[in-house]
Amino acid sequence: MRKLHKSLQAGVLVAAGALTLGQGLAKADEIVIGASLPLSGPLAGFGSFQQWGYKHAVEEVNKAGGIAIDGKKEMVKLIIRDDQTNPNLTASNTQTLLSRDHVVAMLGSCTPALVNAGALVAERAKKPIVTGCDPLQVFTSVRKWKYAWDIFFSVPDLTVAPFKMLASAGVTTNKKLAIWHDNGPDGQANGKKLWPAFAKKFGYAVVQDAEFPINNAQFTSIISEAKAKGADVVLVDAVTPPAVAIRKQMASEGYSPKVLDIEKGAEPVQFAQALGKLADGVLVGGYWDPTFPYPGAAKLAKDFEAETKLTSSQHIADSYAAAQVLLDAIAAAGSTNADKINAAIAKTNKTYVVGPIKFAADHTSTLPIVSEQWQGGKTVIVWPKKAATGKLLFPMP
Amino acid sequence: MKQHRLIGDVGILAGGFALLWFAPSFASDYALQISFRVMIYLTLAESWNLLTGSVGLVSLGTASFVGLGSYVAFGLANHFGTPLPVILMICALAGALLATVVSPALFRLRGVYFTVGTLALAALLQLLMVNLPTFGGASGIFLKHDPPPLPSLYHYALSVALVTALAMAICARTRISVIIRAVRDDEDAAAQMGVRPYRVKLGAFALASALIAMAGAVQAINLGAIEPYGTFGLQWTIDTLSMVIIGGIGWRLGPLAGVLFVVALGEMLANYPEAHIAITGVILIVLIRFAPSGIVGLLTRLFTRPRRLSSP
Repeated sequence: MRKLHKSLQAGVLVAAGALTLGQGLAKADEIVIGASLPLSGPLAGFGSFQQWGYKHAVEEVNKAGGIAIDGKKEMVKLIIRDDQTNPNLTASNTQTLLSRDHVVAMLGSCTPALVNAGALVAERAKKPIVTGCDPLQVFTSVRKWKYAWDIFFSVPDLTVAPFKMLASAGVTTNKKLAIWHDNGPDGQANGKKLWPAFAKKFGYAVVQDAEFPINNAQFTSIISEAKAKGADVVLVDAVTPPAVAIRKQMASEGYSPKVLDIEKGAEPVQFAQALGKLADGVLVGGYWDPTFPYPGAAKLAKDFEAETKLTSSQHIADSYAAAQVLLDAIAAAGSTNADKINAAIAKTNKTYVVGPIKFAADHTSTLPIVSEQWQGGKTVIVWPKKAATGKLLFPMP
Repeated sequence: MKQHRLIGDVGILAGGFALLWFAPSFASDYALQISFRVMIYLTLAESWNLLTGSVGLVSLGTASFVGLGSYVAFGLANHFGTPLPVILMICALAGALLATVVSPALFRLRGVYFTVGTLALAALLQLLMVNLPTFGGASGIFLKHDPPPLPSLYHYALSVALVTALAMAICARTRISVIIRAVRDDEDAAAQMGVRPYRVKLGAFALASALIAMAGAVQAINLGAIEPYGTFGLQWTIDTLSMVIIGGIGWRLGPLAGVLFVVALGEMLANYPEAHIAITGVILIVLIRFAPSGIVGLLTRLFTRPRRLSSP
């Protein structure tokens, strides 16, 4: 019993000490905002870009002297926590940022599961949260939001893009389409509903519709079936690791369709780095490029590449824009009061690095979609023609 | 003697519970949130410690019952507007029922095969939920109404932790303790002595599963949104077993020490997102290397004077 008593005492002391050390104190004259991001786990590729975008926006505001609150300039402090690509952690991180660090507003995570988990907590706490990285229809399906705001693309716009691009390019295929998609929310929505519907509309015959688990690594049977059925066009919805595996296994199976479009997974530069020349010709939907005619677009990519020595990603843009929208709203409100900031976000009407941002009644602002293609380790816009920065590589090498 | 100890344990628990019940009136929201997390993890860790440390069933199926509790809770709340205390009771029944249904298959397996079987159960349930649109498919389900406020959720988590602690006290301070240890140490020898190992294992498995399902339900209500990858995720299982191993597997206070240590460490390192996983990994390796019997085992060794073998 004495043993138990002693060990309990020591345990409590250790825990109490650790908790005390863990307390972070914000300065009284700082505006504290927070974000929970996937900096580890399967979505770490997206999280690192988002982190840079958020930090860059805050650094710029601080370099300019901060934001005036009740007439007095204050610096902005951004606290970022890693959610390890786990929605449970996104929720608990958001709770802690609100209750321990007393953030006045939040910036969102990435992908519907993570963004929604954090947004629900912020919504209950009546604190504004501005996010990108959550397709608009998924965001609005959760609930009628009062404090959460989403700047991203519309799902139908993204899913119709490959069909519109092929029609506009005037290229010839046998119109046989294979659809491979994971069983995540996006994968099921695109692969089971939207792509088959658009295929019918644009005159394609769906010869295969295959579903696989999100973290699947073995695709040879799916690939063999598509090859046997002679599909010239393959549309894929998968996260990056399976996307890389798919492309490699297609090469080893000797299957080279004329068109390969991989949504989500082919987006980050890690996809091209992992595949080298095999990435050439792969199409992916995009919502931002440094060549877009919006203020600061080219500079943003240049700043990112100069600072990190990495190729930029579109995720630096929506995160940077989301942070700018929030910071502008705090400045417009001139207050750290959550309701005043929220009201100022609602009034946003300005052209940012991703284009014009004005929120609809459902708290969304839509980004236009382009089709990009990997060519020589970089993405070029191949559709629409007015935004094109290169020619479509057809058929895929 | 054991009965006295049980009464003592129940007294301590009742006193602690009464004290903690009033925490919302003086503690900050942050303290309540951390306490909520501690209570949920404590329930999971105590249940896993009962199964693994006491009965010797090394289960990797924690996520199955967390997920089950979450989905049952959301179904009841969204479709029937069932009050939370009733939801918790039904979740406990559902957890025990699932454990009973799968036990004929799982208990045919022993040792590492049982472990793999429990892991497969979680994967099976996850895939089932992903592919069944009735349960929201991969997108999951959202709570139709806002969850109760934090102090109320804290009270529910505290109550679930109390029920767990009482169950563990009964298992440790009554004749049950001898029976389950007999099954753990040698199942066949225990059977020879008149103990029915299948019933003992089933009882412990059903009890642990019921408690885990209740914890899953409270956690899900707190989140307001569930989806198969998070609720049936392996992370629940890994977190739980690492907390017990760190605290001290088989020790009465092992789960509590492990939960407090891991939650406190997580909070300390949370502001260093780039480094926290690496630092946590190093700390865990050092702990396991130098304290294989966990924090409680190490502290007990350090704070207990070695006994003399003979009097002078």
